Amino acid sequence: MLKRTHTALRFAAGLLVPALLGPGVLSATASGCSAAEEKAGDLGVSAILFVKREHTTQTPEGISVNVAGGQAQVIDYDRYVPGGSLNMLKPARADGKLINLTAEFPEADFNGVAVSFDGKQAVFSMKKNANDHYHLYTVQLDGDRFELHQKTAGDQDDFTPEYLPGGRIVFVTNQMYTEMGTRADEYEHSRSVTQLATISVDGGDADRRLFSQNLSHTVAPFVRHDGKVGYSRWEHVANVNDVKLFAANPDGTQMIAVAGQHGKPANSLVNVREIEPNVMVGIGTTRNRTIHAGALVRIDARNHADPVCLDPAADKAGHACLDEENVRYEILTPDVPTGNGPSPVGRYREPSALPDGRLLVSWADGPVNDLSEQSRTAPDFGIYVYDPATKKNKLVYNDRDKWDLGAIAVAPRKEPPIIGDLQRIADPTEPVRLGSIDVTKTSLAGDRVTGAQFADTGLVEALKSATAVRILEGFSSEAAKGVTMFGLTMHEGAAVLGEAPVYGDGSWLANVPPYVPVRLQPIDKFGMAIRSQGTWIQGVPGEDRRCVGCHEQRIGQGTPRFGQNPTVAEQRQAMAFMQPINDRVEVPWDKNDLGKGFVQKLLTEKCASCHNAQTTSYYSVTITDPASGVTKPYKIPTLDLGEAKLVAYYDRAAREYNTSYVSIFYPAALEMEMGKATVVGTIPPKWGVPGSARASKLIEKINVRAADGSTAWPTPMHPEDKGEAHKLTDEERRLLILAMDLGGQYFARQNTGFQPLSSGLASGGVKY
Amino acid sequence: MKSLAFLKPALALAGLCAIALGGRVASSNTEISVGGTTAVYGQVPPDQVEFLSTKERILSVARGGTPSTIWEALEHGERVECMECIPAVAPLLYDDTAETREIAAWWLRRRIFGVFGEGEIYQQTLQVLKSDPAPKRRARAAEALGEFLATPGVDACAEAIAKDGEPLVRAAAARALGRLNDDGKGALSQALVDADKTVRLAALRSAGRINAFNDTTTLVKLTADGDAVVRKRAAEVLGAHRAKDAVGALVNVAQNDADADVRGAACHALGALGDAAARPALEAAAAKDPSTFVRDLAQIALRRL
Repeated sequence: MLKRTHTALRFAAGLLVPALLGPGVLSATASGCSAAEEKAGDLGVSAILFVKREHTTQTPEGISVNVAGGQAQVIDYDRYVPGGSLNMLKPARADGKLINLTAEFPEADFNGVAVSFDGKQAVFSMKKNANDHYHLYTVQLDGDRFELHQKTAGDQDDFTPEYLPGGRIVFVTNQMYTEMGTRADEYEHSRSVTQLATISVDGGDADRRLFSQNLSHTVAPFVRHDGKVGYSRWEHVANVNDVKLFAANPDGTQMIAVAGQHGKPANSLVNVREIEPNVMVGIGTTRNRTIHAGALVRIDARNHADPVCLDPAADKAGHACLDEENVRYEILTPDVPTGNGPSPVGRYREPSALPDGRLLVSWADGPVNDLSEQSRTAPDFGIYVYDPATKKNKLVYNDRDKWDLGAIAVAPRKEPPIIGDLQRIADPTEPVRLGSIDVTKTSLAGDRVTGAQFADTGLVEALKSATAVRILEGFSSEAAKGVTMFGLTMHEGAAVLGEAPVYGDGSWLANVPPYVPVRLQPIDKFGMAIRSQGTWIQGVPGEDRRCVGCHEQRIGQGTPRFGQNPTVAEQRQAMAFMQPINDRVEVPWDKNDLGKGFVQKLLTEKCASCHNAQTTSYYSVTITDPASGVTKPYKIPTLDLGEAKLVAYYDRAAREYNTSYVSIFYPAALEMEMGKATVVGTIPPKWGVPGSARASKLIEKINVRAADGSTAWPTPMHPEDKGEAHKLTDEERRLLILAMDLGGQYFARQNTGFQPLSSGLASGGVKY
Repeated sequence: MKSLAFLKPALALAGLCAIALGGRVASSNTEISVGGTTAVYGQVPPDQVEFLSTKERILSVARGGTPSTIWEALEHGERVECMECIPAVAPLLYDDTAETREIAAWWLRRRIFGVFGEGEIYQQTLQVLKSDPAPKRRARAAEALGEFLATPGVDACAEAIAKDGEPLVRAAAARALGRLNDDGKGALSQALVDADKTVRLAALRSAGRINAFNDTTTLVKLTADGDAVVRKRAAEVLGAHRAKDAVGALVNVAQNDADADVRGAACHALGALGDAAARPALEAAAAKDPSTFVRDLAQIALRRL
C-alpha cells in the first residue's frame, strides 16, 4: 500500500529546512536572487484553478521520489503518483481560501486543467487510481456544489485539455486508431506516441474526433485567437530531434507551422499560450530531464511587414499575419537555462496570462534535475505571478509537499471565432484530399536540382518538368517484427500510395487515406523524384489539404498559373489512392508474402548473370571499436547483384542482407554515420543513394527512357547495350527507381510479417 | 524523411577513382573517417541537434548514477560504441527502477558487439528467464526480452506464461508479449485466464496493444471475473476492439455489476460498439444508476448508438 510522505520526512533528510517555514515565504527575481518576502496581491480575477501533483511515496521498501518518471520521459504524461488534487484559490490572493474540488479521490493524479471562455466551468484530466486511465472531467464553477462529470473513458489516456470555441475541448491522447496500431518507435521506447483529439463539452466521447498521426509525440495544445489549436510537436526526422509549434483547425484539419521551424532559442518550445494574435509565451527548454521546465520565452510570430498584423485590435481579415519563417524570440528569464543543466535560479512551467498582462506561472525555486532525486527532495513547484515589466516573481500559493501546476484564472475571456468542422465524421474510409494549384510555386527558389537532365537547375525551373506527384506513406519500425532499422538507410519505412498526374497548369489532386503521415515527391517524365519533401504531412477524414504549390510563400498570395478556377486537376477529379496496406506499393528488397515483385527477383533474373561473385572485385571495410579495439572486417563486393546472403555493418548493427543490397547501398552507407573505418581497396560509386534515384549511379548506368523517347542521361541504355538478349522493361526500371527514391529500404511491411490492428479501427467506417 | 547521404570531406581526400563512374580509392590500410556526426549534423541548425553522450559518461552513470542521469547518458549514447560499457550496463536490466531497466535494454539492443552473440547478453537473459532461482530476476529478464524486440523472446515469454510458477514472472512475460506485438501463439489467451489477477491484468494490457490479437471470447469471459479491476479492463479492451459479440455480456455488466467503475466501462464500451440492442440498458443506466459518472458515460454511449 502506498502512502504519502509528509514534510517531516524531508526534514529528516535535512535538506529542506525552509519547508518548515510554511508556504509562501519566498519571492525571487527571475535572475534567481532571493529578495524580500513578497506575496502577490489581488490578481484581478475572482479565483484561480490549479492542480497539485504528488511526487513522493513511502512504501515498505522506503521513500520513493518520482521525479525521473517525469524527467526521463521525453513527454511527461504517465508519471502517476497518487495524492494529487484539483484546487481553487478564492479569492485569488496569496491569503485566499483553498478549496479541494476532488477530495473524494485521494488516490488520484491530475494532468492539466482549463477554464471555459465564460469562466463557469473547468475541464481537467484525472486518473482516479493506479488501475485507472487519465480521462477528462468537467467541474461546474458557477455555484458552490462543484459538480463533476466524466467526459471520456476507455482503454487510453486523455490529458492536458483546453477549451475551444463552439463548445469543444482539445486534448492529448495515446489512443490507437489506425491499422498501424500503437506507434511507439525507437525513441518513444515503450510508450505510445501521443496525438491530439477533441470532444464536445456536451457529448464527450460521443463527439470524439482524432487528429492525424505524427511519427512522434504531439503535446500541450493551446487555443489561438483565430480559433485554431496550437500545439507542440516533437520532430524526430533523421538527426533533427526537437519540439516545434504547429497549429490546426479544431477538427484536426489544415495543419500549419507556427514557430521553431526556422530557428528558436531552445531545443523545445512547450506549454505555450497565446497572449495576443500570433504572440505567445511559453517555456523554452530541452526535451528531457526537465519535466518541461525551463525559461519563459515570448514568441512573436507576427508578420512584421504588415502593420495591421502588429495591432492587436485591428481587423486582420485578408491579412496573412502569421510569419513562421521570421519568428522573434525574447527570453524573459535570461538566467534560467534553456538546456537541462543546473539551474540554481529555478525553472518555470505552464505560464498563463492574467487580464493585466502579468503571467501566472509555476516556478521551482532551485534545481529541477536528478539532484532532487539524489537528495530525495523533489523540485518544489509553487504558483507565482511573474511580472514581465519587473522580472519578479510574487508568491501566490505553494504547498511544499507537492507540485502546484497549471494555474489558470477563473475569469471570462473572449471566445475566438468558431471554425467550421470539416471533419464531420471520423470515418477512416473517408479520404484526405491532397493537391497543389501549381507545383512550381515555391519559396525555395534558390534551391538547385542536379542529376540526369538537370545540370544545376533552379528548383522552379526543374519543377516545371514535373509530370506527377508521388505520395509516400511513412511508417515507423514497430510495424515490422524484429526490425529497428529498415536497412542501410536512415529513411523510415515507405509505401507508395500513388502518383497523381501534374496537369498543364501545374495542378494535381489525389485522395489518400486519412490519419497516416505522408510526404510528397514531384517526379519527372522518367519517374524520378525532382525533390523530396522533408517533413510529414497528414490529414483527417474529409479534409482538403490543397496547397498553392510546393512550399509556397506563407505570407504571399498564390494564384493558378493560368488564372483559371477551378484548376485542371479539379476538373479531372482527384486520383483515388485509398487502397489497403497490402495493396500499396512497397519495395521490399527480398521476398515478400504477397508474391508480388521485389527487387532481388528482378536482379536475379536480369542482372546477376553478369554481375556476380565471379565477376566482381571487392573492397574491405574494417570497423574498429575505439574503446575495445575489437575489429571486424567486412568484404564488400563492388558490384554483385546476386541473392546470396552477406553480413554487413551499419548503424551499430551487423545484419545479414542480400549481396546485391549491400553492394548497391554500402558506398552511400559509408557516408552515413559509420564512424571510423579502415577501407582497403576501391570504393565504388554510390550505386544507390537512399532517397534519390537521380543521384544513384545504378540508375544512371541503366539509364531511363521516357514515353517521348528521350533518355535521362546521354549514355547508352544498359543492359541493352550488351546485345539483344539483354533487356530491362520500363516497369523493371521503374522498380529500381522506386527502390532508390523511397529510401533504399531493405525491409518493408510486406516482407516482415506485419499484421494490421485486428480490430480494424481504420477500415470499418467506425464512428469514434 | 530521414537524411540523405552527406559527402564527407575525408572521402574527397581519399581521391576519386578512375573507374567508369567515379569510384573512390582508399589507400591500403589507411584509416579514414567515413561519415559520422560532423557530416550528418553539419546541416542541422544548432537548436535542433541532439547532444551526445560519451563512453566515460556511460561508465560513470552505470556504476552509480541516478535514474535520470542513467537515462540521459544511455539515450544520448545511442551512437557510442563501447565494449566495456556493455558489462556495466547489463546489470541495469535488473535495476529496481523500471525506467532504468527499460533504457538499459534499449541501449543494449542497439549494440553491434557483445549482446546478441553466442553466450552474450541476450542469450544470458533468455537463460535467466528460464532458470534463475530468483523470481524477480526472471521477471525482469522477461521485461528485458520484451524491450530487446527480438523474436526469440516471443517463445521464451510464451513458455514462461505456461510454465513459470511465479505470478510475477508470468505477468512480466505477458507484458513483454505486448511489447513484442505478438500473442505468443495463444500464450496471451492463457495469461488472460491465469489464476493470478496480476497476470490477467498484465495480459489485458497487452491484449489492447497487440495488433493481431482477436480472442474476444476470452475477453468476454473476463467480464464476469471475480476481480472488479479485471472486469473493468476487460470491458475497456472489448470496447477498443469493437467486439460486436460482446454486447450481451457488456449489457449484463452495465446493468448488474456491483462496481461503478465496471458499469461505467461497460457503458462506454457499448457506446463504442454502437449496437442498438444496448439502448434499453443504457437508457436505464443513464436515468437510474446511482453513480454520476456511470450516468454520464451511459448518456455519452446513447449518443453513439
